[in-house]
Amino acid sequence: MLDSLLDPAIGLMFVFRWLHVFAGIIWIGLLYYFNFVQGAFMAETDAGAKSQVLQKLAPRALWWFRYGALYTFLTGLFLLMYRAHIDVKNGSSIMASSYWINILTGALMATLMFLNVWGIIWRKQKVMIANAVATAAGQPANPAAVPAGVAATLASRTNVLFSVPMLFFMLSANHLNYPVDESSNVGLYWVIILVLVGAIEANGIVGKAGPITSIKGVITGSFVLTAVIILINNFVI
Amino acid sequence: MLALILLGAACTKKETKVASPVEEGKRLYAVHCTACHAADPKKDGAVGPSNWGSSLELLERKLVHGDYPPGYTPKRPTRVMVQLPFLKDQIPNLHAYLNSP
Ligand code: HEC
Repeated sequence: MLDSLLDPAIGLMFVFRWLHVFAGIIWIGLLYYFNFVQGAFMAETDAGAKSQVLQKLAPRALWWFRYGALYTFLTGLFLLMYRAHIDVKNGSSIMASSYWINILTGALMATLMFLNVWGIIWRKQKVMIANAVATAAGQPANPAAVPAGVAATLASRTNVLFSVPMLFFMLSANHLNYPVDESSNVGLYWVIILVLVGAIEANGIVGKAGPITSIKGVITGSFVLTAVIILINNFVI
Repeated sequence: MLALILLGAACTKKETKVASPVEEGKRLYAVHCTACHAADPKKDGAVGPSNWGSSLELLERKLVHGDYPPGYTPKRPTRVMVQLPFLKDQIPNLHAYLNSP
């Protein structure tokens, strides 16, 4: 085992993949905690408990959440670049390979999720936490706190929506391969995926939660989105 | 729901003409080998080396037993490849593809 582990092409990739999954569990585990557990609790508890959660619990959970996201992103970026380096060196096609189609489909959604964590969720949560601390100290409430909560929830729900297809395509890169030729419509596939995923992300920034407001809705939506991308892949490529 | 859609997609896939050994081998290679070997078997993959031109015996030893024919010098000294014994009956197809012109 050590021989394989110390082989740069095999062992290095494996170690980074292992750390990538470890950090990813921390990140996505907390994403599901926020969406499936904490949000529902906050909706039905009293103001005092809500304030305590925002002041004492959310900052801790958000710390693990955003650094989990950062390390997942960095280890994933390394894996992609290292693999690209090997494939380019070997003269292998990056377009015509089911590995690259699958991994980049997953990585596209995962990168947007990472940007949503640091760019929207964490920034909006800071406003809400500061507001909870200030009002607990008797200061007036910040009117921006309520819309901040709405925006953070929408981005968070969007991340859940991306999470199931993201995982499907990440795993399928090495575990569900299929024939792809130079003659396959890989370019068209990417155009459709970029439009579809871009529209969902745009909705997550400036749109409405709509059907993904409920927990059941977002989980169902996530599986439906996976099925839609599988069908696009199947019929376009 | 997902299962239903997958089933639907599987059924619509046009499987009219019977694939030749080379075509069938090409499909099997893409499905089972490209996680490690290059999509084009003439090239080295990220994990496994080129396996273009492999003999029947080499494929049989590597896939079913995880070793090499006696006296064969492997392209790599590593022992990373998984055994894929369930492909035993498909080895002639893989061989046809890996030795096609
Ligand atoms: C888990 C990754 C993996 C998969 C899947 C895989 N291989 Fe390999 N293969 C390797 C590696 C790595 C080597 C180099 C020797 C070693 O470490 O086992 C190799 C070596 C070989 C060799 C020997 C090459 C030589 O001449 O030394 C043949 C032949 C081969 N593979 C055929 C196949 C075929 C055919 C498939 C699909 C049915 C397949 N492999 C699937 C990783 C893999």
